[in-house]
Amino acid sequence: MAKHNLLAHPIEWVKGKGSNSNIAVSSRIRLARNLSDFPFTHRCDHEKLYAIVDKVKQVISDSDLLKDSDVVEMDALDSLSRWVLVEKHLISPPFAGDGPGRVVVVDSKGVISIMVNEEDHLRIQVILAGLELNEVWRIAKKVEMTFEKLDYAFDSDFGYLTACPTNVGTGMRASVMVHIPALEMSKQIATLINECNRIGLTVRGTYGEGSDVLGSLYQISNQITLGLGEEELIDKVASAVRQIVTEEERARAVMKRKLGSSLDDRVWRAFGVMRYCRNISTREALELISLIKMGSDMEITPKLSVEDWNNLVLGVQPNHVQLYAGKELTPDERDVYRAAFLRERLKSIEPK
Amino acid sequence: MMCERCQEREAEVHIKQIINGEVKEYHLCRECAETMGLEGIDLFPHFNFDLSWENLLGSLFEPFAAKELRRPVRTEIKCQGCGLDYSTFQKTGKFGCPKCYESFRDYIKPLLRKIHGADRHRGSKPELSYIEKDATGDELEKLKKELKEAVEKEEYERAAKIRDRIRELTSKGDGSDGKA
Ligand SMILES: [Zn+2]
Ligand SMILES: [Zn+2]
Repeated sequence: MAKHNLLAHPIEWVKGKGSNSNIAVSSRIRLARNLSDFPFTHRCDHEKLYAIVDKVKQVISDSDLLKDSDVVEMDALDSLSRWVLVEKHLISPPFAGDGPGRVVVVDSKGVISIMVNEEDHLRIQVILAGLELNEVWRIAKKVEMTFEKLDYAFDSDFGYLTACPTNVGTGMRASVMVHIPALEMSKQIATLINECNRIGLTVRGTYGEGSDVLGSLYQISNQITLGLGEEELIDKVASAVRQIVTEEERARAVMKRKLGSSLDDRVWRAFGVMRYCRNISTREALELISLIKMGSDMEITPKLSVEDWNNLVLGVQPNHVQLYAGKELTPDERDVYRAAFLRERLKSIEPK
Repeated sequence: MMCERCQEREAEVHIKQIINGEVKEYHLCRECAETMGLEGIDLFPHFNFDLSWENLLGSLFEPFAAKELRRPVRTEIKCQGCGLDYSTFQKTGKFGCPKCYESFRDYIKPLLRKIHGADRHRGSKPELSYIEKDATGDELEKLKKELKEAVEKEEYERAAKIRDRIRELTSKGDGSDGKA
């Protein structure tokens, strides 16, 4: 199977054009919707799954907003391509598995992606750079309204009905990815998680599994989907993120004062390792990238734009490394190609 | 299908009981099912008639059988739409179809309170923009049929929704939207 051009599709949030995008990297809203006349995806047979796909495709071709989108059957992609899409946040990990009737839709700007026949019939996702949840919500609602003619499963008590009761109501998950290395180094993450949980927010790592967080990148999202309006949920997440941004900036200032030249040394060493390494794991690569981004924000190491940074973070992911190499690789081989990728990219931000 | 107990309303709840290893099925309306759900098997007035004297005597000599008799009755509610039973939902944590929410309504409210701290939606609603103007005629006929059906089944909430949609459609037909 050939590499699909979807892999080269532009992705808007990567460009980093949004407020506070040095720390609040991206804002995402996901809406779960189901068609009232069909069982939930896991109880649909082949025929029903494709009936849903056809209905969705019809709406897309009639929609000014979506008609230029890429509409791609997951089965038309090889496994590597699917996992690259996961790493790009265009699809969820379960969606990368096998099974009929799964289609992903990505709009021409790479702002909107829609998974058809994931756990719910429609998973509408909108991502922009920076802390821009209100704008993201405006777009997500517009997309959602486009599909309303398919007759959403809705109940006046329970709201939008979903396969899993944890998503019912608004069907909305609003999340912001934050880069908080200084809060991590000053051991404030446990407090942050507790405070967030107390007000109904979830904190988890963007990369890595379970409590293993890589690259100091965290997702702050609403835990509940029922009982509060969408705007209320969004306000909760946004106000928490604003505080987190302020706290991270404060922690960086404290660190600079306390550590002085040893902080400079640590960041410059990260720079040096990335420039000359020959074999590097995802974990170490993400740690170093995090350090040189913070170093750039604090004007210690050369300027690293948000876009270059995002491309580094994506580029060192296991499947992106294989895409870079142009072939499938064993984990050991990946570490070698990852190092080559970093050395090449670091040349373009060489200190003067 | 009519409710077995009152013979008045449409049976919406289908209960399976397992007594002494024997499966019994009941088809009830929501109201009857609720009363029975609250008060358990005693509400089946004919239940005890199923136990013959032989069984009763037998149980005196067979402690296991006696135990079996006292075991709480398992009731099983099935979804009208997809046939999923509540215990399967409890095992998998996933509903089978949108109608499961209606079928298990009273059972899932405590669950939703546990997950979300609330059991009522307060966010946005569909705006019913899906009624296409060019399909008005067909749509109206379909809605009228649905309304009649809903009223017959005493699904008043659904009926009210349909009535609103019909109102919306017919007001468009008056030419209030003629400029389009
Ligand atoms: Zn009855
Ligand atoms: Zn069901």
